[in-house]
Amino acid sequence: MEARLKVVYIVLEATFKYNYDTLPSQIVRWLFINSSKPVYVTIEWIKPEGTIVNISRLVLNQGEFYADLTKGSQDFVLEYTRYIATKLGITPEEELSNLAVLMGKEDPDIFSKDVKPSKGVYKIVVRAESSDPNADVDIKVNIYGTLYGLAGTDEYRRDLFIAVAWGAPIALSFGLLASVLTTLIQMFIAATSAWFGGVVDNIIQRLNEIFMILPFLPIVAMIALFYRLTIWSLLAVVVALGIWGSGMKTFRAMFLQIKEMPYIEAAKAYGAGDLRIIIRYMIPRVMPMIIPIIVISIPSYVFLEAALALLGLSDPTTITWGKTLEEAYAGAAMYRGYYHWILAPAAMLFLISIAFASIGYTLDRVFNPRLKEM
Amino acid sequence: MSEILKTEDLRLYYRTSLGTVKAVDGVSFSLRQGETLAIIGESGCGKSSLARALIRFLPRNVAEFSGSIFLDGVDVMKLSDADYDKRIRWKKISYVTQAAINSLNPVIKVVDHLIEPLVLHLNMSKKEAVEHAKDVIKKVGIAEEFLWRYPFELSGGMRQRVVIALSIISNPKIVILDEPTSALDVMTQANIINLLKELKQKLNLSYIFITHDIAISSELSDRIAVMYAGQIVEIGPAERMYTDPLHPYSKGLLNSVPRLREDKPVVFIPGTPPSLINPPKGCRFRPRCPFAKPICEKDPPVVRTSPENFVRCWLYGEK
Repeated sequence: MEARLKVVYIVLEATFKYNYDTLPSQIVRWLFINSSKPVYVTIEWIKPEGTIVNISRLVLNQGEFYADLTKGSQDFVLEYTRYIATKLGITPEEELSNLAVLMGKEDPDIFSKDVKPSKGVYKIVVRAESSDPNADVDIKVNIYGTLYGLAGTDEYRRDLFIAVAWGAPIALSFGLLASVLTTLIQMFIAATSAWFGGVVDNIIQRLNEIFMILPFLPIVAMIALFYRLTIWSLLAVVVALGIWGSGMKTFRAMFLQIKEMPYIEAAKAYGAGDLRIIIRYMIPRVMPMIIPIIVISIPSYVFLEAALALLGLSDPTTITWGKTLEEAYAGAAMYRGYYHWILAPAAMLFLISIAFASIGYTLDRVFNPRLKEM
Repeated sequence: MSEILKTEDLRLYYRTSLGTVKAVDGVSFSLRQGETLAIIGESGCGKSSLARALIRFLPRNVAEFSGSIFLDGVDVMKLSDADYDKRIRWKKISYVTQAAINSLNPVIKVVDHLIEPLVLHLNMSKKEAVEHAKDVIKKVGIAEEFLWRYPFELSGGMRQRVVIALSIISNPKIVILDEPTSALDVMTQANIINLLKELKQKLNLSYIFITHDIAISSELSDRIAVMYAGQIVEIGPAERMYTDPLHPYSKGLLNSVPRLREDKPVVFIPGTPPSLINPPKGCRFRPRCPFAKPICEKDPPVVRTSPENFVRCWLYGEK
């Protein structure tokens, strides 16, 4: 019997064009090996000038292998530094950076601080060799630029525009729901308090005064500490704590006046019940005054969510503008000069408050025509 | 004519911080089918409280509510509030409140006011109720399109008509009108009075007409009851009452109406109406009465001077 060794050779080739004026920020590669026997892999990086850089010589088993070509000291760096020093006739003071090796234009500038990228077509050649006849090899190379998108990226290269856009419906629905729910519930409780008077009024008002004294932020912090808050349970907490306060007193004062109106008397005479009077007669009466207030107070709830997120009290799994700001803060964006990381969500918060303030004041003029005379 | 409403010894007292206010204190009267009974008296004599007792529209501080009310054969006082709402309110008796012109909610449409009693008491669907409201609004002389207007878009007279439409929407037998023409100008008053007359004939209504405007009551009423300090002091047919009032208070009240083209000073009754918390013993009019006698310190009898006339006074009790 003759033992025959079967060997498989695989050659992969890929090219890409690089025409940018600056170097990329990072180059990473993944190797995907599917083989029952070890695989010998070499990767050649061919620059537009034709220089071949052997970036990897590896023996790998089945699996997925990641390497950051721009980090750590790699064999090819020293090799290439020697080569280029000889070619250009320069004695280098130190080793080149990995990026300069892979992308740098081969002129004396390569040893200076501002390395120019070598423009043109790059080629990557992967050669693999295995004794498993069914072996398969694949490679993926990512070349990351410096900045991307309308709003830029954060330190993890995530597009900030996505964060800002994703946060918009959440901010809007949070603000709108918080504002509408708070005002409506507040109004209903105030109307009940004013309508029934006596003991009911006393209980509600004393309870209100207790809640007025309790500080809002520490309570939210406490709840966030003990329970895992999602954005919607945070909404519930904000509404539950937000309905109390001076607003309730103002509404109650309005309803005490409305309660004595002749049409309420008439409704009682034809037999409308308590709940019906509150919902159909008292609450609609104050609606024209309330709608502008609801609209104007929407941004304050968006700001509140942002403030809570900045303190780390919001839902950690939901992308909101506040969350983005918190990450910018945690990532020391100001110190590192990533101003766009802060400006993008901050600009949205700014815009939303101007937008709703304008709508609110316009509605106020529509619902209260007397303001036009002033 | 059959009696449709009869009250006996009706009392409605209120509790206040100063004591018990006897707003309605032993009122008995009856109302016939198709008749208009005017209840006249000064402000604060208990007219409106009487109306509230009849429609069972009581404030929270009621101290006593007793006596009997027979409405169309039903002993109303024995009904619970829920039964009253179900069987009597707006089905048999309805009410036009004081300051009716303001008794429409400015933020809901006319139609929503009109269908409210139908939905509440007659279990009509909203659609049926709207159809019914269209019929009724025509009866009070307002075009159908005004159903979809807001009350503030209507004139005072129209608003008053809407309130009247609201009171007749469920075909009641009795309508209590609590000063329905106050705050209207005279032309509108005349229109409303004509409308009320017309509706009464068409729908065979009975009115209890509460007013302090004696001129208006003379135009509309068949009989008149004069109230003083929570009690009815005199009841009689309208024609006789204006020409020949029996009770000294009725005389004073009618004399106080200014007359045109008569060069005589307007007479008023000296003194003020008594406190309802602590009314005078015996005849309540005694302190102001020009005919007061020692016997007036005892409770005066109710005297029937003719089949139709009742008066609560010692002047007639001696006979």
